[in-house]
Amino acid sequence: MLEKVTEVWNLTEEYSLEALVEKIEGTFSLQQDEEYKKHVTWYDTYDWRLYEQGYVCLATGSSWSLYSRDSGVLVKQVKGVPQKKAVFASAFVGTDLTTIFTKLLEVRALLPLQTAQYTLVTHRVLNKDEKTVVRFIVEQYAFEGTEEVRQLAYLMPVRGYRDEYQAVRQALAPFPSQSSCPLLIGLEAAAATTGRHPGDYSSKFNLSLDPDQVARSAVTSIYTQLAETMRVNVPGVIADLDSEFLHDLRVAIRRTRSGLTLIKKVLPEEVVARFKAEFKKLGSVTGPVRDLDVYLLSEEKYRKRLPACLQPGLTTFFTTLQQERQRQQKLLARELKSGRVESLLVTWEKHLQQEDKEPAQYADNPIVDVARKVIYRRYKRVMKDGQVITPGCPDEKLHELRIEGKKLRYAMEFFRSLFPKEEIETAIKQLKTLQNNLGDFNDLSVQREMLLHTLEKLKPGSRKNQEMAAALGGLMASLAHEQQMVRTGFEEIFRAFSHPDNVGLYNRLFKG
Amino acid sequence: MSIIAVYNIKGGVGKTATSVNLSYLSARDGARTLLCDLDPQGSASYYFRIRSPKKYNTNKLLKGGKHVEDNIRGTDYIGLDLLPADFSYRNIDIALDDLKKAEQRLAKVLQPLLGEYDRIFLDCPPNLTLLAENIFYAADTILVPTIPTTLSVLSLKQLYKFLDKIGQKKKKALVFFSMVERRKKMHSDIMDSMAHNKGVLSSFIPYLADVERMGIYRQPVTAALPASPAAAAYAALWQDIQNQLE
Repeated sequence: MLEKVTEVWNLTEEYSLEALVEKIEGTFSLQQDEEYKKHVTWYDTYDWRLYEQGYVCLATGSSWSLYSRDSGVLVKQVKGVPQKKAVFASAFVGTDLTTIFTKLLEVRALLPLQTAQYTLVTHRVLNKDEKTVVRFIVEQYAFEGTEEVRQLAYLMPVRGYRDEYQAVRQALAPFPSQSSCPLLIGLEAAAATTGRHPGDYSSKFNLSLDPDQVARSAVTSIYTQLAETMRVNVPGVIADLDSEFLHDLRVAIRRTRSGLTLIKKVLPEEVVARFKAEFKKLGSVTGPVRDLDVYLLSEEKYRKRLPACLQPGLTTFFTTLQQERQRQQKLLARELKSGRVESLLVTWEKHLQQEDKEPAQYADNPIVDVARKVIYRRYKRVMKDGQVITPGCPDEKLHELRIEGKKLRYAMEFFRSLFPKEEIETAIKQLKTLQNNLGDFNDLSVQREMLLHTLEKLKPGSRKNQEMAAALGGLMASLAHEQQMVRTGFEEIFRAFSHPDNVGLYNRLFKG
Repeated sequence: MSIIAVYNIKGGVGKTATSVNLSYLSARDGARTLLCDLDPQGSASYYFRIRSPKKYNTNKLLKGGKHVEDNIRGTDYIGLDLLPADFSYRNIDIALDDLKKAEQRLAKVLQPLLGEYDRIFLDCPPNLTLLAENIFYAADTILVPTIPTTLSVLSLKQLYKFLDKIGQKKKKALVFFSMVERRKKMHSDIMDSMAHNKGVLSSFIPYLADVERMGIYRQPVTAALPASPAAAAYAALWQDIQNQLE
């Protein structure tokens, strides 16, 4: 395709080529060029990273084509990468797609969305000199696993034959048309056959609330969306497609638990108590695999910390981790397949939907008032905890501050739609900078502890274990050094967070 | 971005066949290509089944801009457009004569089209007039199909002389042999004697019936019979020209 197609007709069952030709005013004949057929599979990450960045990816056999979503123009094509149920950027190393996929996919895998038999037929509309005056192109998708066949038609004008183009366009007028590129319509149709549509999932919490909405109804919207996030991620966790399914599942659980703790007296107390416990349990079930994922995902970073002589020990360490992860993943999948999660979510949603026998104290207050109160309380706490941190105080103080900061961040994200966009985003961004520092500090502590724990369990004697102990020791030293640097950085970052401008912003937004 | 004129003082040397086939190959390789049919006979337009638009004529060509752009037609081949010839072109020299800086007019008309096209081919009528001067001024390369005969070689000398007279460099001209019949002694002798001359390409187009039949099926032979010896000869010539242009 050379030119951007902007008008596409959906050919319905009434379409026949003969009838169409008859409808074109003037003397024209049609000549069909060779048919072009291929078996195509659409690929994208579960959260549509390619689509969101303006791409559509199609694979045929081991050949992969990346197109521009809006123009349909082929951006890159590579061969020799087999299709799988989950394809990571690393599969494309050494091809023209490696740079772009590494950047866009990160840890997410490309997943097959739908497969279709694709046929493209070009009909050339000829005038009485048998000169091509417009091209009439029909693309057909026969989707796998369904009876559905989609036929799209569009025209490619030939320069200088405007009238002829209009004549064919007129003949197509009875069919419903869309002003979009055929490639994008194909993707949307493919997604629809699997119950999805492009952009239907993002790990970012985004919910539009109405400031006058009563608190009880607003929290129902929040928790319902989080429950849905948990639900849609479960199959990906069971199939172990990529580590983000579990991560997103856990974040949704944590957000729910945070909400139950932070937003007080909106849901009945016994409901809060019950589901706090239930979600805590679910959170702990999903913990071990995630912890292992965190280490496994940072293998490369770990390798860079150690000299060549300590690498063999690290290899043994990661092999052990991988084996442990396999074992834990099996347990997790078994738990998730049991149906207990689904029945928890169903009961939870039932409680959210039903009318409370005894409504809680703030159930009928406007949500914006509740939101301000919740956020401001958390904010004051973060400020208070942050101010007492000194270079000499124990690490625990920083961990506590991180937990408080996280609660504040979740609260702001729940209610972001209730506040002026630019200001709330700035407030969230300021907090994020602080959280990144605290998060890094915490990650390093957890990693050190885990390494120490592994080291303590190692049986002496074998050469492999000796090598591994050396590697772990090296890592711990390197991590401790970095942790100290992160901690040194805290002071300045917190000073920025507690700058009068920022304090003013938080007060303006949230102080009742 | 370049302008290639296909020119010879003499007629019937295969200029149109060359323009049509080379512009097709250029577009097929992915370059946005425009073929301007400057010959009032309109043979190139005929090969592509394109009629001269009703309101199009010499004056519009020389006005340029929208007057030209609106009359460009897409061929049957993606990436290849054609500016059709009009019968009124036969009086183009008279029209040019009335203009200021007459010898630069065509260049001025073509200049804006280089934004839209990677390559422009000019299929030129046979003569040595003000239009020819325009063509030589506008073109980056003058491709000269030459039948290997004594008279043709003479006309080549005339061309070089003319180029010199109007202040154009001789090296703009690239000569190749056309309608070659190897069995004819004169053809062989002349080609051999000129083989090492500067600006003479080694690829040549043999005299082939498939090229002549283009008038019947009205397509470039390179498109209609891509596996034919004629198509192979044009492909080799095009490769040779591209190497020279680099």
